[in-house]
Amino acid sequence: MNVCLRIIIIEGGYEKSVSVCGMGSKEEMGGTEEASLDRLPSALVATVMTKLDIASICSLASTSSTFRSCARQILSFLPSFHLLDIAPTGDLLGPLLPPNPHLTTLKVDCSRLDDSAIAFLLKPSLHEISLHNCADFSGRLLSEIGSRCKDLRSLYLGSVAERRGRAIHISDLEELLGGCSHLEALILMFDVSLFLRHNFARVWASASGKLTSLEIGYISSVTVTELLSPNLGSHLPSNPVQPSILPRIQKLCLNVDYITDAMISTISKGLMFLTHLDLQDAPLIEPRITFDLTNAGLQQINQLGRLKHLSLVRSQEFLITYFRRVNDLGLLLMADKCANIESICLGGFCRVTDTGFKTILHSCTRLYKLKVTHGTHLTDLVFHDISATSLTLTHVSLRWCNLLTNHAVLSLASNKELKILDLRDCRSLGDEALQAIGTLPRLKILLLDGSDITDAGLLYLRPSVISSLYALSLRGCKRLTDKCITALFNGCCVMELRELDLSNLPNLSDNGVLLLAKSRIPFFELRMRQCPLVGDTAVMALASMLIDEAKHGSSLRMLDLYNCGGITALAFRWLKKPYFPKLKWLGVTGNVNRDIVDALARSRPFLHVACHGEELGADPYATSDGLYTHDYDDVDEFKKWLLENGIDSDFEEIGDAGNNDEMVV
Amino acid sequence: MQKTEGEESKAENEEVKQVTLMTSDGVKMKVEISIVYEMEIVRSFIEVNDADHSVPFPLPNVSSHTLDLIIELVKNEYDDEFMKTFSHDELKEVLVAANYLNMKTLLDFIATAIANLLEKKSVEFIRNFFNIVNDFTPEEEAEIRKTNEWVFQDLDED
Repeated sequence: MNVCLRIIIIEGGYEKSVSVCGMGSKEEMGGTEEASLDRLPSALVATVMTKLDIASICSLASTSSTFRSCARQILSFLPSFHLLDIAPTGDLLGPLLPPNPHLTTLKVDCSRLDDSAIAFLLKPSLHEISLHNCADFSGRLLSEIGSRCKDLRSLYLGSVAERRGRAIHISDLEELLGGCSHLEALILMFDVSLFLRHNFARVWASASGKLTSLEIGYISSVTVTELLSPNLGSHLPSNPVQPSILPRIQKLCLNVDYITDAMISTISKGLMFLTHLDLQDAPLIEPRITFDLTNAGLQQINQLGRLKHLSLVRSQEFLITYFRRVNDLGLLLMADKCANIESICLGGFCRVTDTGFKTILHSCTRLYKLKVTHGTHLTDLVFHDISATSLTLTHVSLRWCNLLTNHAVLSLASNKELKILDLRDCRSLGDEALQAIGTLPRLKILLLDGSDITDAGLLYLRPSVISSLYALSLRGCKRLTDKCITALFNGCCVMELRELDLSNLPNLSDNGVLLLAKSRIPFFELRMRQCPLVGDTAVMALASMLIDEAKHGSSLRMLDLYNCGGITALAFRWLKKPYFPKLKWLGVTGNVNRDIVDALARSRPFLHVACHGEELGADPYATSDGLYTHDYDDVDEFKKWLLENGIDSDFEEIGDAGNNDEMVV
Repeated sequence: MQKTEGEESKAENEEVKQVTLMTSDGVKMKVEISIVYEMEIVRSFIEVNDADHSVPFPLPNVSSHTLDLIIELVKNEYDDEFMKTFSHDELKEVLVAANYLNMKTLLDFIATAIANLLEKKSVEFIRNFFNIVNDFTPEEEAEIRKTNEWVFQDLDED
C-alpha cells in the first residue's frame, strides 16, 4: 500500500500542490492495526522536513539512507532556501540546490563562491534573492540575474566584485535592470560609482516601472542629481515623451560623497511618491557651499508632506565635519510639512539648537523614532515638556550629545513605550538617569557607553528592566567594577538578556566574569574588549558554563576578548572544540600568539577569528556589506551600531578623554 | 466528548450535532460536528451519504487516546502550550492520525511543532525520535560526517 501525501506549498498567494509518495512498502502503515510508530511513512517525514532549516534537513539526511533520499526529494521542491549562518563552498552548496521549479526565495552568504556558482544559484523561479559578500563574483552575476531570473521581485547584492581583478561593467547593470521587469526592491550594497559614471545615469531608464525601493552602497551625489533631473522636465506639458527615471520610488537609501542642495532638490521634486528617504554622506574634504546642504536645501525636503521616514547623516569616517550650513531656521522651515513623519534621524547638525530640535518634536506628532548624533547643542530643554505632547516614542538614540544630563533622561522616561534607548557617549549621565530608566517596562535595548554610572546605579534596573532587556552595553563606563555583575544579575532567574558589552572596563576582572558565568544566562554575544584584568580564568569560566542540561554549556555565538590583559596561550586550549560549540565570532589579539591563533582558526573552519581589533559583526554578512548599511531598522539597531563602530575610528574625536585611551600593552 | 443519555438529548435540544466515531480500540466517541468537519475523510462521507449520525463511523487507524488529544487540540484552537505536554510518541501518533483523517490545519500545526522540536538537534536525537536504524556503512558515515561538518558543529546535544 502506497501512502501518498499532498503537500500544499503556498507561494505568493497561490497554492501549488506537490505529491510526495511513500517509498517502499516496509514503511507503510498496516491498514488495520494501530498506526505503527516504528516507522513513519516517509511522506509524513517529508511534511515535517519542509518546515526545517537547511542545516536541520542535512542533519536528518545523515540519519539513514531512506531519510537521505527523502531530503534529496525535499530539496527539489523546497520553496525557500536560507543559508546565512555559514559561508558554504561551491562543493557543499551545489548538491543542496538541485533543479527546483518551486524555489522562490534564496539567501546565501557567498564569501566562498564565485561565478561558477551562478549556474546553480540563479533559478528562474526565484522571486527573492539575497546574496551577501559576493566579492569574488564579477559583474556577470548582475547580467545573469537579468537573463535568468525574469520573475524577480526583490534583490539584495552585497559587495559584488570587490576583490581585486574583478569588475562590473555598465552593461551588466543594464542587463539586470532590463531583464528583471517586475523588480520592486533593489539593494546594491557596493560602490556603484566605480562603473556608473554620471554620463551613464540613463541606464536606469530601462528599470522596471514597479521599482519602489532602491538602496545603493555608494554613489556620487552628482550622479544622483543627473540621474533624476529628467524627471523635472517631465512635468512640463511640452515634454511628454521624456520618460521619468524611477518614477515610483517610495524608499530611497543612499550613501553619497556629499549631500548637496542640488541633490536634495532633485530628489524631492523628482520623486513624487517618496515616503522613506535615508541619506548619508562622508566628506573627504570640508564641503564648499556649492557642494553642501544648507537651509535652502532642507526647505526643499518633503514638499508634498509625504515623508514618513527621514534620515540625514554626515558621517565622520574620513574627516571631522558637520552640516555647518544648517541651523534652526532650516529645521523650522522643514518641520512645517513634517506632520506625517514617524521616524527622523539627524546626524551632524552641530549648529541646530534646542529650538530646532524641539520644533521637530512638536511638529511630528506621529513620531516614534528619534535619533540625533553629534547634537552638539542639544540640551535637556528639548525634552523638558515632552510629557505634555502626545508622543509615544519607542526608539530614542542620542549619541555624542554631551550637554545632556540626567534631567533629560528623566523627561524621556515618561515615554513608557520605549523599547530602544541609546545614550552612548553622553558623558554627563549618571545613576539618576538609571533611576529613571528603571521605570521603563518595555525596554529591550539599552546602550550607555561612556557614561558616569556606578555599580550601585545598576540596581535601579532591577527588577523590571533587567528582566525585559535583550541587549545591554556598558562599554567604557569606567567607574564600574566586578560588583556591577552582582548588582545586575544576583538572584535573577529568568532573563531575556542575550547580548552584553563590558568592553573598556578597567576594573572588570576574572572574578566578575566568573560571577557572570555562574548567573547561567545563555548569552549569545559577550564583548569584553580591552579589559586589562580579564584573562585565562575568564575564558575557562565561560567555556565551562552549564546552561540547563547541555554538556559543554556555553551558548555564546560571539566572544570578543581583543586586547584583554590576562589572555595567554592557555586560554586558547579552552577555545578549541568541544568548548564554545556555537561560537561563530571570536575576537583576540593576533600578534601575541600568532601560531596558536592560526591553529585555532584552522581547527574551526566556520569560526570567524578577528585578530586586528576590528569590531565583530553580529551577522555573518557584516564583513564587507556592513560598511554601507544604515541603521534604519529598529530590530537590528544594536547590530547596525556595531557595524558602524567597525568603521569609526577607535580613537575617538574632538579631543575628549576617550574611553579608549587605556590601551593595554 | 463522551456524553450520557441525558446530556445527549439536551445536546439535541441545543442543536449541537454530534457524530459518533469508532476508534481502533473499539471505543465509540461522540464528537461535535464542527470538529468532525475538519476531518475531511469523515466529512466527505457524511456529506455524500447524509448518513444517520448515530451510526458510528469507523476509524481503524486512530486510537481513542489519540482522538482525545486531537479533539482537545482543535477545541483549544491549537494551543501551543497544551501540545508541549505531548510525549514524542503522542506527537507522532497525532501526526499520523491527522494525515489519515486528512485534517490539513492540524497536520500543518503538528508538523511545524515537530520541526521545531527537531531543529538543530543532533543526529542521535533525530534517530531516537523517528526510531531510525542507521543503515550507512562506516565509510558512508565518515563521508557524511565530513561533508556535513558545518551542520554538526552547530547542533545541540540531546
